Amino acid sequence: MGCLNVMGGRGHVSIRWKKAVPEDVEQACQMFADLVKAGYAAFASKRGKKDVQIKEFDPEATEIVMVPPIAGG
Amino acid sequence: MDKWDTIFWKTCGTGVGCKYVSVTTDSSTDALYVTSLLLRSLCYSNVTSDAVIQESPNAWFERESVRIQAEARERERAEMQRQGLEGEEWEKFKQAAVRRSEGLLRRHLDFNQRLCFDASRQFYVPMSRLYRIDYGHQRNVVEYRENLEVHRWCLHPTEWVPDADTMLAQLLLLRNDEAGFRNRANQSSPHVPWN
Repeated sequence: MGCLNVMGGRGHVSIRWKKAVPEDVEQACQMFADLVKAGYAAFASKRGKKDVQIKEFDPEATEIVMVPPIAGG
Repeated sequence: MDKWDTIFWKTCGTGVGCKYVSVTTDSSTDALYVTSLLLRSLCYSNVTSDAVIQESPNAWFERESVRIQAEARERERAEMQRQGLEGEEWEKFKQAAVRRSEGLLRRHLDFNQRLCFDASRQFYVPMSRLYRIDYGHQRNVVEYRENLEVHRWCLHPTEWVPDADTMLAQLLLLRNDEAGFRNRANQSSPHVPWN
């Protein structure tokens, strides 16, 4: 099972998907695309690999963290 | 920062009378940083200096501290309005968000970082340089060189997120693109004590 964690004012919102369920994957993929379009950066963890920045949704990832647009303070 | 700032100071006792130096940069943080470097270099060359800064550092720290806190409050207020919450409800909501974000951050730390975070609410990130990420939102990434703090870096999400989420974002950005982090973040002296 994969998990998309979207950072925001609520701490983060988690959307889970099962690789075997196409509707889940599609929903997560759509949300990923919308967030990337809105300027979010995505970092995926897979077994053995940690926190690699990705540009496209990866259904094999165990966890994806979506970081809102950032700026120097 | 949108303000141009100029700091003048005067050094005395050099044997050649008074000297005036003007430092102009595009931010008051940088101006103070350059000033501190120049003052330090004066000390290293054994010149007795009697620095007179037009605006005292304490007044400057206080002004900057007030500005940064006001910005943080403004971001939080915007989030409160977005969530439609206020007062105690908002505090409860915020605490729940903070707990969740700390859980997410801990999952992304390695064993040593987690130990360090649990003990002192900060952790180290060894990249081409060594960084320490402190609990917080702004100016909380400290760069070390030879065990000395050399810079503080400031880069954070533009919308309000709990501090632990900011720390995770900083960690992920540093791990994946250290050069990009340094290009985008604002840099300042580690000796400005408002955290």
